[in-house]
Amino acid sequence: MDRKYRKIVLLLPISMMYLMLIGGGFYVVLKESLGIIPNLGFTDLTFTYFSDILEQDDMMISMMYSVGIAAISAILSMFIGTFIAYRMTQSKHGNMKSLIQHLLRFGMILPYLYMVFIVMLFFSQSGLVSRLLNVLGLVNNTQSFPNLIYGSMGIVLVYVLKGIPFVIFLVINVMNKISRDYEGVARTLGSNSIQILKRIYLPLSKDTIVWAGMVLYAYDLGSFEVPYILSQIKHQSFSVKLYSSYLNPSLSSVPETMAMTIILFGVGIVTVALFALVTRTLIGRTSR
Amino acid sequence: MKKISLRLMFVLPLTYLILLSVFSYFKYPLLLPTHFTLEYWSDVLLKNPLFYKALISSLSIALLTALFSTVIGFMTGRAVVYHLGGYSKSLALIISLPLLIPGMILFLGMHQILAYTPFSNSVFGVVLVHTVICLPYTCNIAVAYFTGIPKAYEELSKTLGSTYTETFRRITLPLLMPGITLSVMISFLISNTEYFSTFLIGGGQVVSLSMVMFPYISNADYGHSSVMGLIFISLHLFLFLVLDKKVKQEVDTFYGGN
Repeated sequence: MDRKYRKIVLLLPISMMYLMLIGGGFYVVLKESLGIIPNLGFTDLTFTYFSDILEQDDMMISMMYSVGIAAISAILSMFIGTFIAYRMTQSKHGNMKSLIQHLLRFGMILPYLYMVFIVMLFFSQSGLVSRLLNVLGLVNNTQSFPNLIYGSMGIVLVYVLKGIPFVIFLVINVMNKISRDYEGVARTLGSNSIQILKRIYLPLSKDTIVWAGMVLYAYDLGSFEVPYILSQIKHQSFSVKLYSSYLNPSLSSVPETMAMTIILFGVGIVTVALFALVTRTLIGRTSR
Repeated sequence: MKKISLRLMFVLPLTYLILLSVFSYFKYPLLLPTHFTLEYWSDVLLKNPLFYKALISSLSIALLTALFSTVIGFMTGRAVVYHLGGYSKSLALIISLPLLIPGMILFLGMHQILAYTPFSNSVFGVVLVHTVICLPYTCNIAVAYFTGIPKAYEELSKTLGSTYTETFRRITLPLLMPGITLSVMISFLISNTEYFSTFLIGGGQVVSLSMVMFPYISNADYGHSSVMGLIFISLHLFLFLVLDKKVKQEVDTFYGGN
């Protein structure tokens, strides 16, 4: 009895947090999206707000845009991060490893918001890369350097730069635990380092890589500040769109905003699951 | 060669941040800024009335978040390892839920529900929301560390006549200490790097460091952004240095067999 009681006490706080904040939030948003907001005088249950939203074309476009950007950045981070993590486990230089550790730490400390600034500093039309090329005589003025940061490219760049340290951080732990014997055997049998990565390291760290990718994908999909600063008027990511509709002072737009939130929640959950499934299969294919 | 290019990858941005924070003239083809000035530093440290308010509220939010999420995380970890028979896949999925729902939607939902409580637009509301997004990490750390402690230790201590609290204080807690430090560190960091949730839930009443940073960055204001960045980075590097001594095997156990 004592044991059972203890179990409930230990699990109470987290269940409260999740049920009240996540579950409760979902419940309120769902209720409002169905048109029930007694305080504002909406009392009839209706699905019209959902169909209204689904009929808007630009809604679908910005959703696709966000999904695309998030998927590309997450996959790039997974790919590069895993590769660097593998090279690090293979590397025999002590200082190299500690150097990368510092770099990792640096990448983890910086908020996404600040990574936007770093990317601006280096890759904008008047950024350091452009200046360096100017000195070398390859670029004449700011206009002849391509616009890399305002638009999809910049957003992806920020996400990838933040994503890589995260992937390395998680994957390297798993890779470090893989016994060196497998590798030794493979080498004796004549495998090269790419084959060892594909046949030994990838299958054994698959779960962690997919997990890291999933988290990054979900984060990139719902991030606000990065697309807000870097996006162009032509394409808007759905988080920016959702927030501007959330800020709309007209009370009659509340249910529509909530319906939008619910739709995006559904899209989010489905695509996160899909993303995990697809990357899992892809890694499985590669390692065959 | 590789080593030099790697070193450049973090020395270069840092050097430029330092240079840009004290030199004001950086017209296009120049590679290095000129015209020494301390104006940017004084603007942020002396003239910006929000800076100290933001610093204090950022630190208190982060500390409270670290405290809450670590305590709740380790309670959950304990329950998972000792009472629920280990970390099954479905359990891991439920605990990780806040990471798998896109942030925007998660925060809008929490903003809606907090409006029914007295905590909206308050520091405590922000702490609650940050705690939710830190919990997946702290729970994972807690599960990893609890799994690492042989159950025989506690049983032995009980056989020798100690009470539950005594066993916890003298056996379990010391063994968990590195995990607790790591969990505090991670949640402190996550809370401090959050921008949107603080801004939304705080409703303009709560000002954090990243919110002071935001206008500088969105206006591409190099000088002030560099100052803010240096303050932010040194704050966390200091934290890491202090805690690093305590946590030697941090990385090995974190996320162990996920």
